[in-house]
Amino acid sequence: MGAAHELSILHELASFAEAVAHKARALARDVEVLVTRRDLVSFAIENRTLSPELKLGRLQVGLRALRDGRLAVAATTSFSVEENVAALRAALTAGRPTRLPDFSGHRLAVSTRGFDESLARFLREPQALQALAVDVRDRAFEAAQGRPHVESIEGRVTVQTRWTAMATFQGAGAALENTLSVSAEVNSARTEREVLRRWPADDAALRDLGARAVRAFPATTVTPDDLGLPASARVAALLDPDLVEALLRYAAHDKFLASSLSSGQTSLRPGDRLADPRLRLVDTGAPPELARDFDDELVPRGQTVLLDGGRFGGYVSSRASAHATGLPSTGNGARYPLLAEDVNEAPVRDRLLGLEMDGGARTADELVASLELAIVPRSLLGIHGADRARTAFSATVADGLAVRGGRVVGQLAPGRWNVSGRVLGGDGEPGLLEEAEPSRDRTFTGSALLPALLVTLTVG
Amino acid sequence: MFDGDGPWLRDEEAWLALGRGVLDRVRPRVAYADLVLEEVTKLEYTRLVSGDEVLKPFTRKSALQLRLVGDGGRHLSVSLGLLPLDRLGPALDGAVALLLTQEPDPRYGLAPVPNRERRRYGVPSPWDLASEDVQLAFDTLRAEVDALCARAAEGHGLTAQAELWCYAQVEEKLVLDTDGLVKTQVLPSTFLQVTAVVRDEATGRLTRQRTRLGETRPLGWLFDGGHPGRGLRRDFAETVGGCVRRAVLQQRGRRLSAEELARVTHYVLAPTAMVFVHEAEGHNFEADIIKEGGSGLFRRDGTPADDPFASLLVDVWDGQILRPDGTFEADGGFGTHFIDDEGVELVPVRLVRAGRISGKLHNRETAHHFGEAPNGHGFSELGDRRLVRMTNTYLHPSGPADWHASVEGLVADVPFGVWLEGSLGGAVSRDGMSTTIQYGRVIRDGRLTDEVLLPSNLSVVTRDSLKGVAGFAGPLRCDDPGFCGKGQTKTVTDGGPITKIRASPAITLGF
Repeated sequence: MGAAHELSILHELASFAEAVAHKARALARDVEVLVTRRDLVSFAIENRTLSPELKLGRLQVGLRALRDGRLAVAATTSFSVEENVAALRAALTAGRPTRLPDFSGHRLAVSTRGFDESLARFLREPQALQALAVDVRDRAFEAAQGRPHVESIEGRVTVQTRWTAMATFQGAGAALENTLSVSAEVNSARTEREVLRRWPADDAALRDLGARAVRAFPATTVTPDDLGLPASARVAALLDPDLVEALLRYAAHDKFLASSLSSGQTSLRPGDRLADPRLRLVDTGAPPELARDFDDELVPRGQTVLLDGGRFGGYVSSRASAHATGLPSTGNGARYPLLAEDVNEAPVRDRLLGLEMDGGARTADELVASLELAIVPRSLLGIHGADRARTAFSATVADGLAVRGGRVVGQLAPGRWNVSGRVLGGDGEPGLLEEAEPSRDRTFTGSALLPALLVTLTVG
Repeated sequence: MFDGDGPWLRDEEAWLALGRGVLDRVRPRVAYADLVLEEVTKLEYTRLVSGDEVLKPFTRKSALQLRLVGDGGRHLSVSLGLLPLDRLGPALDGAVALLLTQEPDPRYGLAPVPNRERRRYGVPSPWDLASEDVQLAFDTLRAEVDALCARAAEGHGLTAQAELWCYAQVEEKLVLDTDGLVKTQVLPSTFLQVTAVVRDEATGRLTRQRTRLGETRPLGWLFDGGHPGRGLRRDFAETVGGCVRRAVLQQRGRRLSAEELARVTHYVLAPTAMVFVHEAEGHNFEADIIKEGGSGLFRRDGTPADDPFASLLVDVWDGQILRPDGTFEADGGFGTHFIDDEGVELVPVRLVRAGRISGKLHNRETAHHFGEAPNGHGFSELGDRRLVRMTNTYLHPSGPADWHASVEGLVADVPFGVWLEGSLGGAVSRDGMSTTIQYGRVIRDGRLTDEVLLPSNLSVVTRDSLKGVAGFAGPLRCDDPGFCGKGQTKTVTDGGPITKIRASPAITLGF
């Protein structure tokens, strides 16, 4: 079949977006239509049971219109041109003043860079994905034999296809992408996860993911007292790439945004020393894993060097913040929810998008082996509550290991390990990026390509 | 229209036709099927700290969640957009085909829906979401919040700005099954979030505080006399003003030192710090989590892991909110529904009675699994799979003992403690939980001082979380609205009276 079926859906959505924009010409000076559809097949691993779930044909439409210096916004889940135009008409009665002069006029080629035929078969034949889920589950339970401390095994195997089409009066773009994600969680405490944009040539490691999680789950837990750590001890920590990403996106995020500059929430200048000289961090890197060639404003994505040799490189911006600050537009306008609204309902805001950090000289294993005592936190509970004004965090380790002399000595006891710090320094306090060594090996998290980072955290 | 028990849905005939058409298509090939059709109509206002505003006067979204049950306990969940029936056909056929290939699950089943005969539930919304008063409402809101910010920052060399997010919505749902069940609900709700950002112009220091208001009421609920022309309700203006003042005060906030943290004898939690109850308690009582071995308080067979697990002073409830007279509010609480998304009426559930586990939260599947009655906690977010979810979760004293009239009485015996106020979300794993606390004050020698603390993180070992409860003060307040994520979003509230907890190794406060 090839991708013909998926491409026909993409062309249908692109035509729909252009039809809405065309029909709305009489209403406004410019209109922007964003249409997304996600289809998903998923199998939840609930110990021995598989729970299947399908999501099909769920459409989200985000609409913006400009008229007389005012911005109107609407959102629907309707595939009717008339209903969407009616929503815009209603929204135009409540437009708010805006600095946006117009919407993007880029006309971009259809992008299928993020689409892989080998993954698409799973949505067409969900039974094949079920077979993968069965394999992950059964191998995990096989590995759990003789490990009485393993009390529960959960996980999920999901394939998702996403269609995106945009249209303005002058511009158009469309993208097709898909992903496969596999996760396994042991005792609700240790998670292994992989996100793939193409089916691997050798899938043995993927099928073994659950078993790997089981084998890596220590039989013992350790508290700070067990390791002789005093209150508020400073401890070497190798941050898992997922955690590095969480700290960047939840704690430090606002400091890199042009919109924060205009509201006084950041005052960084290019060249400011922010981090270890070994760190280079780029937004929207080039690797093919980070798909879709345009942001949620139909601006082609480009690279923005955030840190180079540890020094601040520059801000990311949306069209509105670029216009307000005079900075270049970097293609970082994203419909990002303030909290719980759907993406198509969310305002367009400056947002870090795909992230890539250069690797270092030593592997993660070599870094850990070089230390007498270290913790390896993989996720923190409550990191989304980080203090974004100060880039500070204080959170509980949800999944992590203690390592002594290069050997794992136990799982960090749940609820007993509070770690804190600041990502970026300020108010006379150092940031953890100021002394940070990246690992040579990097992991694709689904939205970032990052190494592990060896830093120092406060443990209490 | 209103018919006896409750209002009609906006487009009830069309929905019934679509829902029955879907069930008729699958009925010959399945043992049972049910579905929930949901639609949310919303008006929404956002003002970012950058000053950019967005007003969406009218958005509407809808989806359908279909559950198929086959022979041998095979089951499958399908989420669909509301397309015409002829376009849904291939998806439905594909879903049935996939159902037939599932592994049998003899333990799977669904508890029956009680009170099948009653059809309508809910509250008609008197507020016309398309009315022109929308503009006045949000203009009033913005102007009052900005005035409160200016007043709080005046004379301190500070600037205060606020990010606003406000919405009013009407949610409608229709629940049908292949046995002829028909239930509907109409539910309005309003939500306001204000995040105050205060900046010291001299040092550049930034502090943030957030406050929320929310209720199952139409938009007029925010305003004096129900009309935006008269301004914010006085108590709500005080709440928002208090939030900005805390951000101002926190400019001189500090951390507790390691030595001070080691000396803490008690934590005193304001009702707005009770995300702790939602995370440490509530999630561990969700029966789907219990069933999979993810609860820190129950074994997988549903028996308590630790009994008693809490102080004898403590009850914990989820559902409708308890009044002082012992009755329950029928329609209050941001997390409230009349029926869940399976058509089961919501009932108040006492999860903990005088320190002992006494209940679980169920959907139909888990009620069947544990052989218990369903209690109306099966919810989905607009087409997603129906999971066990909380509604309004709160601590309550099990009796009058150690329940003080004022916070002064409660802290009189505290040598060195911490007052914690304002949760900024939280998260839970099987054995621990964590919540970010926005604001704190030192309690010293039996008095609540003006020493302000920076934001902190409260971590708790789940099983020991309520063992140290040592007293309460003031009335129950369960009016702190929020959104719980479990792969999908559900409106919730949490609360309690002011609660004092003895320090222990199970509780960690970090800065």
